[in-house]
Amino acid sequence: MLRLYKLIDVVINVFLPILLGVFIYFLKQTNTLSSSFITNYLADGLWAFSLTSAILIIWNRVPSWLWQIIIFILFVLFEILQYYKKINGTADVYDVVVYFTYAAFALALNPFYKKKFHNQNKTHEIN
Amino acid sequence: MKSIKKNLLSVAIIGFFIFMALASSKGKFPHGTFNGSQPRGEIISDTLGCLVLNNGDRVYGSKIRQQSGAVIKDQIQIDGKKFPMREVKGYYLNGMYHGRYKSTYPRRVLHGKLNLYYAQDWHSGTSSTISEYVYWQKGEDGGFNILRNWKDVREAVKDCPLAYSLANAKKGLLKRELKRDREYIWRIFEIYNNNCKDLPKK
Repeated sequence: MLRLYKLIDVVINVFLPILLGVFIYFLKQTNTLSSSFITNYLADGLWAFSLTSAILIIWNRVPSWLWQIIIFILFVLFEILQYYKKINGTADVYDVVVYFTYAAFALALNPFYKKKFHNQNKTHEIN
Repeated sequence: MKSIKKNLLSVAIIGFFIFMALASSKGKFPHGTFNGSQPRGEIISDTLGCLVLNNGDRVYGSKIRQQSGAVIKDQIQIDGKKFPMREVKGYYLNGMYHGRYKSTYPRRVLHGKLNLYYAQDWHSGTSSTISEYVYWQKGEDGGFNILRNWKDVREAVKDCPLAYSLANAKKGLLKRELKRDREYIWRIFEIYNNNCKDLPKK
């Protein structure tokens, strides 16, 4: 039962945001979406949300601060590498703000999802 | 033991997400590749602005303004005279031609049998982030096609074997060539516009 709850958690917080991000990316590629906020920031934010959620789920939603710090460093590193043209893309401080905001959002939702999907075994044990 | 498994899984997940982020920008041209300040292949002496209407008529003026949105229907003004965008196929301003694509007027950066158009989109609130859009067009009245990657370049020049072969090199070689000299990609289109003949060495 716990596995099923964990799977639902993964679908809601990892797969769905990624799928939505990929959808936005393809809309941008085909030029059918004109809002620059959605195409430039929302897709990035969903990527950060999904990554943070994935790490939280691996650690049974008990935040591993080492890995959270690594993720936050990764966000900054990504923009630094773009700034120095080591990877494609345009460095933008607002991207970092977006990454941090969405990652913080995933962390803020963590207690809710922990209670909903990861404390189910305790309920079963009591029963 | 369980912790080792979780750590390894965390590394794998981060690796996967990095791969995803890099894959989304793979095959794109380096920023600014098409942002030529001078249009190629077109000589313009007329510095006065003018709108080019669909029927070929020209309306001259000095100030051109575009307006589009939910309230104001897509329109373009020249010295205060308003025209619906659908009636204006392009305009000249500061010696450069801008062609209509949907409700935008990207700048023509290459003119010939094959035209290239370039547009930028600024993020609101910041000038540091710019999205670039490049379109190709066959002839003066052909439709606009977006140019995102080498596949699109090959599609654009497929009826010119010499240009096609240059765009069809190995991925690594194309990346290196473009990194070394951005003229590489321009050369492909200029060969196409030169009746598919190689260009004289500079």
